[in-house]
Amino acid sequence: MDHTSGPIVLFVDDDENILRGLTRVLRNQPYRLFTARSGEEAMRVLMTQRVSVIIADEQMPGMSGTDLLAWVSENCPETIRMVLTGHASTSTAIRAINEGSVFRFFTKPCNEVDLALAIREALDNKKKAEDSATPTSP
Amino acid sequence: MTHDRPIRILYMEDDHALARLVRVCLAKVGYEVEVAEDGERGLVMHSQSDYDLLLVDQSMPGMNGLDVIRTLAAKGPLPPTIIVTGTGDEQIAVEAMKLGVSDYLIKDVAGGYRDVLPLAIDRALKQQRLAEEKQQAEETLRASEIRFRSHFDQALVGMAIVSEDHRWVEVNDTLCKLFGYKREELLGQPWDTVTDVDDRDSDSEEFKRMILGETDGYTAERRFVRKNGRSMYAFISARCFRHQDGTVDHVFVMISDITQRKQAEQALRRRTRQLDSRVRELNCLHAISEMLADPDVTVPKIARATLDLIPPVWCYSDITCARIVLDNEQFQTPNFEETPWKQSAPIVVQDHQAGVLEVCYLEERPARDEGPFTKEERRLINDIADHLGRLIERNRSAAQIRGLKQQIEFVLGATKTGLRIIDSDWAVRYTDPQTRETYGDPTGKTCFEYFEGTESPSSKSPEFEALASKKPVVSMSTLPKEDHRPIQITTIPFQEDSGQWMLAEVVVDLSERKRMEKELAQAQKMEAIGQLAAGIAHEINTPIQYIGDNMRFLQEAFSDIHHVMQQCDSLVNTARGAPAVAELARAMNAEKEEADMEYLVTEIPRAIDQSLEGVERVANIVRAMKEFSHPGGGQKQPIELNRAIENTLMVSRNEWKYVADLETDFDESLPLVPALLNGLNQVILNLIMNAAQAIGELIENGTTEKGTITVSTRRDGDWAEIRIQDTGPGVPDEIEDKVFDPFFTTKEVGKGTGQGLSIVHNIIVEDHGGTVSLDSELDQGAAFIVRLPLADTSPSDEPAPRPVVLTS
Repeated sequence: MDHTSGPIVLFVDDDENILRGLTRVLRNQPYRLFTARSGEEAMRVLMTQRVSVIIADEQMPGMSGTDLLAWVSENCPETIRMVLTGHASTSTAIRAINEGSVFRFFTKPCNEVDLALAIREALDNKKKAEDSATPTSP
Repeated sequence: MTHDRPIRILYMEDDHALARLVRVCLAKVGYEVEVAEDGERGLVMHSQSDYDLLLVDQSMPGMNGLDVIRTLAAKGPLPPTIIVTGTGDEQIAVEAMKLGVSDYLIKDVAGGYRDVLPLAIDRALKQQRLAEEKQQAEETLRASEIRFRSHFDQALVGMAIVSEDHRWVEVNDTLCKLFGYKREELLGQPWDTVTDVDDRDSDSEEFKRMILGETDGYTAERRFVRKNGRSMYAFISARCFRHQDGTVDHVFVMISDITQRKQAEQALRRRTRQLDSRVRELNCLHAISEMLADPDVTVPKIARATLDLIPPVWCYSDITCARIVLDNEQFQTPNFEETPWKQSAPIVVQDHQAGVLEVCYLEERPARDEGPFTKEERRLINDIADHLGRLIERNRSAAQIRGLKQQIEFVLGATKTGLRIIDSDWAVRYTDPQTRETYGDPTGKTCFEYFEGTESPSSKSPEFEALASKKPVVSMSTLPKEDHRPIQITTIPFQEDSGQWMLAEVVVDLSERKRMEKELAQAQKMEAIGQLAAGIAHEINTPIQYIGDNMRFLQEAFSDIHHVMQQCDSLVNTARGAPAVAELARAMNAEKEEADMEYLVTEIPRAIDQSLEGVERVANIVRAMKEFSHPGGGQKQPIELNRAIENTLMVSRNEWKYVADLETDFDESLPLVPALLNGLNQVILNLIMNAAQAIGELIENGTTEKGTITVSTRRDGDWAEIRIQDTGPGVPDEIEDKVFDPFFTTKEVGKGTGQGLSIVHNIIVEDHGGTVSLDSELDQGAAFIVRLPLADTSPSDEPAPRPVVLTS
């Protein structure tokens, strides 16, 4: 397993158990899993790493998931944004989609397979978009 | 002269034999004859007795016949006398006749003297009678003339002789005095001089008819004018006297002054008329007033009845017609016709002229006080109009009061508000119709007897308090006779006009309010639970996420470890012959034995699988709870009915899983149903719980160990139908109608609010325009069938107008 290269997937959740559990089930996936315990920490990661996919919880102390994704949308538009929340409400979803233009919206608990597939899809889309944007690269 | 006694004849005759014969003969024809033998004797007898006739013989000894007659004639009028001679002697006859004898007879006895004598006697008597009558008549006439003259002159009545051309010819003093004229002022003047102008035509007409011979005379009452100009009533009696040839000789007129009598008569007539009209007026007014007593009387009735009463009371009833014109209505007698001879009076109702009463005469009549009408009739029409006004006013206010009462009672009924009026002796004076229906007639009962069945008033009762404090008292109570329906009583003391204190109690039904309060509390509780549930769901979902993640990780990891261990086993088995590893291999196998490795390898994946299953179930429960308690908002939204039911079943699992197995039979093709999610969830929850409790009753009394609740959905045309069937005891027929009533419960106190099915009914019928019905057979369980329209026909969008019917 290559943990030093490959695309980075960033999980943001204030519950560490969630982050560890997700890291465990997704440890074999072809990307590097980064975690952040808050929006602010996530922003620091985003500012130092090229993150391909960010998956954020909605309700967190400090910056909310939606605000974070809105910031990501603004500052790292190439990062694909997803939501995994335990408090799904229509208004949350609408805000996430409108303000953060998220790619997927998951509610807890969600099966890791669904999540893994969605991440794959996001990465593939992103790769296709980058390939078409730079046709000269081999 | 009568013939009661026999005619007595004195016969003077000296010839005895002849005298006896004559006497017998005359006796045969009825004459009584006495005989005097000579003249002297005859005169004596004549003077001593009264004889009707004298029969005297001429040749008598002593005084002869003529001597006797001469003697008698010298004394006075000669009585009927017949002289008889034996020989005819003219000189004697002439002298006798001159002396006034009736007859002269020759005494020819053989030759017929006997037959002639009675005739002569008869004739003589007749002559005498005639003479007497004539004399009497003459005397009477003379006396009469004397009387007349004195009467004429001094009579108390006026008398006059009037000429053919109606002029005064002769008048007496009284007449002069009557008219106040002197005799010479009247004589020769025409009669009309003194006749009242108004009576002249009729008087001269009758006089003319009399002169023309059509009548013999006439009597009449006439008005005359005295010289001093004063009017005089007189009774006149006129008679026409004519000559033999029919021409008029004169007209005799008597005139008597009847002014006083006339005045008395007029006064009497006036009094009588006044009395009579007063009586009729009173009858009329009484009849009108009596209409007031009739509670059903209406204005048209009053008007028509009054019109019937009017004509008989007016002077000329036959030609009297009347009309009543009211604001917009008009009533009249069938013969009504507006004529110039009209009397009218305004009808005043509540200080405003509401109409007019008119009385007309169809023909002209002599002028009285007001046209042809009397002042009594003026007064009467005013009185009638006044009465009418008051009647209409009272009728209108009575109708208004009746209408108002009806309206009030309608409102009381519609708002389930009770009204009671209680006097200071606690007697119930009034109750609204609903209360009367429930409690019966309150007459003669105190409010305590009537409502609570207690005898004496409690000093803690609001009635007592209100009457003591003279201030309104608001109290809460329940009605023992009406399933302890909760009520609020406002007891208001007030004083009647008479000064008596009364109580008005307004009783407001609180059932609805209580129900709404409970519903609201229920809704608030649900909302709070919903919010809690959502929060809890979030809290639970997070650990579920990582428990699940970790479990799946363990599952995978163990599988990997297992593979690794199998490789280790192969390695150990291969290498254990080598002395270096033999000990290690033996120790490892011992450890494997110790750890029951075989068992672990089988059971760890199972344990993980089962844990994942549990996590899955927790996740489902939380999701269901979240969805169940999701605040749906006030708007209907398309709902997956089957899913909503599944959620509810899952959430309420604890309520039914110990008493019943649950079977579902869902129509998967059911379209989305427009509904209020919260309400619908509540309905299903209530029905499931109701079913579970019904089955619970049977388990409690040992009839069964576990029942079945079957929930099915299906589409029926434009309706979605949910059927929730239980295997409980079923609902008895007698309460089948009541199960949806608020607070109706068959459960013990504390077990149920009696609200569940009522809420179901409200949500389905009022919020969704659906129906909910009960299909139950005793001992066969019950099934509640909820039907929801697939098209949104929310009754709240367009509330159906409630029919309001006010009768007045």
